[in-house]
Amino acid sequence: MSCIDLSKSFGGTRALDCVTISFPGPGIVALVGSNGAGKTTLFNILSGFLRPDTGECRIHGRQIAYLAPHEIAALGVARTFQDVRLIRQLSVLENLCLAQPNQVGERIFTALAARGYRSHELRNRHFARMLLEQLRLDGMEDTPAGDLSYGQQKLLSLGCCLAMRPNIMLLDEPLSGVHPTLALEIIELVADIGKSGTLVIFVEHDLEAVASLADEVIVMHHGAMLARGKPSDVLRLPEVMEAYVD
Amino acid sequence: MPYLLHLLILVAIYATLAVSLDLLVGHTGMVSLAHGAFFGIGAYAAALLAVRFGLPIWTGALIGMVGAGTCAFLVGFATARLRDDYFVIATFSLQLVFTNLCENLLSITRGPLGISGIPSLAMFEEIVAPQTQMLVIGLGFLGVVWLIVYRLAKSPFGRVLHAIREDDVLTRALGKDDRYFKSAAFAVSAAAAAGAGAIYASYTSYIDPSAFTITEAILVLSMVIIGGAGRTWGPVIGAAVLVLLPELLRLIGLPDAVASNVRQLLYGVALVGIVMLRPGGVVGWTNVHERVR
Amino acid sequence: MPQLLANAIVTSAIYVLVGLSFSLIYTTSRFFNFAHAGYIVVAPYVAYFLARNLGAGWLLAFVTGAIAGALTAIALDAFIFQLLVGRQSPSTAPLLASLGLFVVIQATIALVFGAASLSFGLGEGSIYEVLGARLTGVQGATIIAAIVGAAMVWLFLQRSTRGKLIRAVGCDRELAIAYGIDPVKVSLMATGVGAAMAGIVGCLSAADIGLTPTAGFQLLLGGVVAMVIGGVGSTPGLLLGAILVAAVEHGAQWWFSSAWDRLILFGILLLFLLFRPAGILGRSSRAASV
Repeated sequence: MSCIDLSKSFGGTRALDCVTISFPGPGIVALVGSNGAGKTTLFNILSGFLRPDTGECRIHGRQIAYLAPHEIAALGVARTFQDVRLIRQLSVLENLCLAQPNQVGERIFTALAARGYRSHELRNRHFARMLLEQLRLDGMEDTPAGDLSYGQQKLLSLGCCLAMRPNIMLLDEPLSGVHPTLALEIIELVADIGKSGTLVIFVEHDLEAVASLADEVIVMHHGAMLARGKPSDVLRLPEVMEAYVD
Repeated sequence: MPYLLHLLILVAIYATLAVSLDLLVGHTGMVSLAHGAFFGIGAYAAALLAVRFGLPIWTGALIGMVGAGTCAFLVGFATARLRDDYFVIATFSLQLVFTNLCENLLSITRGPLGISGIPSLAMFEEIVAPQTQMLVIGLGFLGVVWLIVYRLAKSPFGRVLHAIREDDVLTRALGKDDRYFKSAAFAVSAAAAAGAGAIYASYTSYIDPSAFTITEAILVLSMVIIGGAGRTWGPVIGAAVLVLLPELLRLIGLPDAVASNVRQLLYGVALVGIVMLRPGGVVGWTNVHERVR
Repeated sequence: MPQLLANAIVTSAIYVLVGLSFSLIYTTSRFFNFAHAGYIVVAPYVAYFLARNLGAGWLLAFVTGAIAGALTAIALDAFIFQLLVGRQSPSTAPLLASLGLFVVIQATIALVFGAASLSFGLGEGSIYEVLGARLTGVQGATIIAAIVGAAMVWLFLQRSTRGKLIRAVGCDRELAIAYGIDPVKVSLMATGVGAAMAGIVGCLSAADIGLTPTAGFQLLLGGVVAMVIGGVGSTPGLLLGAILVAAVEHGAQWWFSSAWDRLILFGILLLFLLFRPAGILGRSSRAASV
């Protein structure tokens, strides 16, 4: 995945200023920066919820800047949101079933005859239950997602991303507001995901977590990239420290 | 007895309208004010094709259903990405346009004079009374529409609709094309309403624009909400209550002209009351949070 | 031809006023309030009652009617809409409640006054000849009211403190609360002003072409379409939209038959919704903010 010369302004504020970044391969990349640095804006553009004013984005060489979010998702991009988004009225299992791609039963004519999608749906549920185990949420299968604790909801939204079987995951503050024990679980999970060949880009403020998890760190400041490199190197640079305090 | 049958037939027809609207309002969360228009498209299509060209009601009904469904799909597609209010405005306009066309295209629809002499769907009238036949047809069609909506609601397709109802941003991020789902739901609901319209036209043998106005659209919407949106039996119960209500009013001696306004007053109040106090409607009176799925 | 133009201008004036009254409230509340069609007709019915049954002068009756309409709207907002907008109810709740309220208002009016069209008997008053067209006094007053109203609303929303409060609450309710603004008070204020304006246009329209309980709907549709086409949130846009809507309506009636005006209008509305939902002069409104 790569972006070239991305810019985005909102009214008078320049959220992104000619940003050029490329993510050549799988692994875990952290995106850090103070509030207003442009991280969420970048995520929104990468996932198709915003259109850049200038510049382009590509996945495997393919232009994605003007695609709709669902089209980008179909290319293998999954994301979470800063405010946890789930379908609270559906159960935990159903959220995981919903997220899976290419469901035959979602086409209206197939949906009318249960026979058409029953086997697919069973396979879906099986995969969803496996994910539940991986997330250590089994036992909460039928609980409405809205009844979960905040940390569990974050875990579930991560699970929904996994259910999409993505190549690229964009995680917006996966650890914020989460109890430390649960945070460790999430960190472990993300580490596993990174090892399995997925590109994970995550936004975080917890620098310790960033240091332990990320292969690479990108620091953003006022809409531009400030520094990039291994966590141990980048996080000690004086400009970065200054920008963070700012 | 014939009067009771008449009421039951009306309940069946309006329940079909309510169930079909519920797919859109209750399951997908999109409020539409165009249902009077789709009801009318089916009725006028069947009536005109039968009276002018001698086509059997079935054919007219089918053509009306396809027409209504296509129209709905296009409008749904155009408005799917916009705010909810824009969809309401679009359906509101569609409804008023339809009424306007009916009243003014005198050469085709005869305006307020209406179309009479619509043939009945009943056959072999010596064997089974036509009214009974109409009841069977009405209930049969209601059954089919109800089954379709129920099936869709329980399927993965319905799961996406429920997701859209709550959060269409997330639904898109999960890779679902919300335009398709919204338009498809709208099309099915419109086609079903048109079918009910054809049955209605065949039953009453005379139609005029006044049965297919915005007032009707609001009435059907009220049936859905008061009965219980998104719940299995909610729309049917809502239809039964609101169709039978004027009869009760008549029983206590209110003159017809007053009765219709009192009925409106009552269901207007009920609508506001349900929305504010018991969003689950009559069916969901006790468990306020539970839903079909 | 000049008469056609004059009629179109009068109609566009009516739609401007309806659109202004609606957008004042919509700017804060952000939902389609059907009861607005009710606000439009309450005033003229009250005025009719006062003038015909109590012998009040027309001007006094209109003003009292508009105030009555505004008070009704404020009461409904306070006891119903604010409760629905604030809490965690689905976004369709205020819309559905507004539909119920409109039905209640309409039914009540029909019960009290009957459904027949009421005439105010003011159309035959003074008639002016302007550039080859004939305008009644009421029609002239409508045009002036529209121009004055548009200017005042624009100034109010853009320049005055209260106007900015209204826009702030509409833009981001939670942020406004964080700044110490009371969204309920702001909403009530916007509702009062908007409903009073709706009442005035209702009276003017009733004086011109008569009054029925359902007149509110047609007027509301015209005003809202004008607002959407012209651009939500833009007063000059509303003026453009209203002129366009009126032009299409009268033009279609002139060249084709009156069956086609709504259809053409709806076609234009759909084209705008498809290709330019922001309207001619509106700011681009995102369907979802992430």
